[in-house]
Amino acid sequence: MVAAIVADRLVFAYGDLVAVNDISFDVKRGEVLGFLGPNGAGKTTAVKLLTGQLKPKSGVAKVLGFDMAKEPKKAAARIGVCFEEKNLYPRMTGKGNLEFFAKLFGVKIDAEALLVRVDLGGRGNERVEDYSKGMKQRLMIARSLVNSPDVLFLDEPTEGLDPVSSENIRKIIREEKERGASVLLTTHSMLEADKLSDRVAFLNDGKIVALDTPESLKLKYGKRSVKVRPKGRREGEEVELPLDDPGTPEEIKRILEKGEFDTIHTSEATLEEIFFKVTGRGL
Amino acid sequence: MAALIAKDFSELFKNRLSLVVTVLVVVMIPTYYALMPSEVEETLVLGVRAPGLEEAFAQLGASSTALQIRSYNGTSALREAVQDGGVAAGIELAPDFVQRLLAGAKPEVNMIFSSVVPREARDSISTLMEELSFILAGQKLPVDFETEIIGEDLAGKQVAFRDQAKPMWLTLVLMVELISLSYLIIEEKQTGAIHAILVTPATSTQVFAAKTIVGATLASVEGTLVLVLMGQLGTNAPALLLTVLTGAVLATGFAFLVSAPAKDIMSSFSWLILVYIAMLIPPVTVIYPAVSSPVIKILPSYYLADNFNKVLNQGLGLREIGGNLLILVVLDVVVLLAGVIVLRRKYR
Repeated sequence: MVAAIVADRLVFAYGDLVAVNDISFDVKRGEVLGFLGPNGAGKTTAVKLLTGQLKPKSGVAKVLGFDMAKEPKKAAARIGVCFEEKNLYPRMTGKGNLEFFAKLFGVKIDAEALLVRVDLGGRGNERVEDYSKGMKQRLMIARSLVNSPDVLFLDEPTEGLDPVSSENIRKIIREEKERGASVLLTTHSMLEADKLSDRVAFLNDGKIVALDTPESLKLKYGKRSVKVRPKGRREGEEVELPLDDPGTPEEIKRILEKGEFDTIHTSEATLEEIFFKVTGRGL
Repeated sequence: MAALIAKDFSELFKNRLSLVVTVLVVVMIPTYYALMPSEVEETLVLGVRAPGLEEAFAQLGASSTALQIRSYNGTSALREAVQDGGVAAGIELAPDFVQRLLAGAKPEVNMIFSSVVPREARDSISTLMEELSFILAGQKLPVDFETEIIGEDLAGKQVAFRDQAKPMWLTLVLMVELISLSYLIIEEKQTGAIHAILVTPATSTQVFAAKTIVGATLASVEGTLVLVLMGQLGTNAPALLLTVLTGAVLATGFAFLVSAPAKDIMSSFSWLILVYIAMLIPPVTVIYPAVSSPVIKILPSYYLADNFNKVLNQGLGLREIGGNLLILVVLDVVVLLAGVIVLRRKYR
């Protein structure tokens, strides 16, 4: 599969502060890469390098085969960016915002259809300054889709959204992936990254400290154990049986045969636990 | 590019501050200009307290169209009239003025001026007093008047204050557009909307070109409209329109420069005030030439104000202001480029 996004040994510093420190990764066509890390980890700087907003001190950022430091505008027509900041035109209507950006891309759009897609149907003629935070966020998503992009950069796309709207945005991201778009998803939400990403990259202090599929990371860093809550015990009083212990299979067999349990399940590590394990810090 | 231009115009007119400032300038300056006196007041009004000589002074006033004498009975009434500006100066003669004069002693003449009367005017009135003494007594009175006449004698060719102020009004109109454009730029910076534009196929060159076109067009239209409303576009229109256009581009360049360091709208005002003070000094020296200095030529608006003054007040044309126009074009390029460079850095 051809890579849509390539970061090759990217380095960027704000003065003495190295924000992105020798990172390399790629995102294949039709793939969703979750970009995870705490505030100040270098996620936004990396996205700025990949969208041509910043030029790297060293290394190469390529999107759709174009070097974003040298020829960003060649790729721009096929890129969609949803920023973390709500950088809309507040005095324009929702529809006006979409149509203005469509003109910049040189495309004609059905603005109402795009608005319906993000649950803003019928609200397009209202000024953005009258929108709620969630509505603005959904309009940001719609704006990133005006040019049917081949590559999507989504920075915290579900931030400030209620669960129903968040699920709708996740549905849109899956649809875009099905359409063949590559997605770089920057998020704090490990749950979201887990649900949507084909692979995840952990970013800490400007470096990628882990990059793999969520399953592989869980296998690699997660605890291999089974949690059993014996009959009569309360939640939190589970017994943990390590899977690598030679005696565990027999013990599980015995419990199952006797039926002396209320619950039994594998203890799978979350991405958050893995991040903590890898970096020594939380998100 | 057309989309960027349309967006900038639309955003400017949706912004209430920009709209109010634009409309106020276009309406207020011509209105103020129309309300100001169009002719120079050439009649000198003097207040006099001269016990026993009232009749003589009244006859003196009646015999001249350029001199008007108002008689006062008390010192306080005379002082009040001077203070209120009802008379240009007060002349108070001591009650024993005539007796002392006849006795060969130096009589006392007290001249009262308001502090706002310029020194030139005080000197002129002192001279006039010497003349009056001749008229009244038929000989030079033994009263010493120190006189000093400075500056050009403008009798018969004075320029009314409102006309002297035209270069200032027009420079002000052009510079006011700085507020609207810098507001737009700072807002795009603050909301981050400019970043959203710059990741599309639109280039930063197109963004700046659009803003230059919008800023220069708005300022030019405003300047031209004010000229029309003031009834000044009839003569030397090409010279005036070229001056307005070069001034409008200059204002746009300053808008870029002012917007670059400003973090928000409020902080931009401190930069705007600095630019305004600097830019309005040259037109002020057109009104008060005595305060002018060659150093003033380092301020770009000098060439703007000088052009307006030469065309509107001295009746000169393109040929005479050609040098200034050339300098303005060079300044336009320099200021605009400097503005683009510093603002482009801030867009990153």
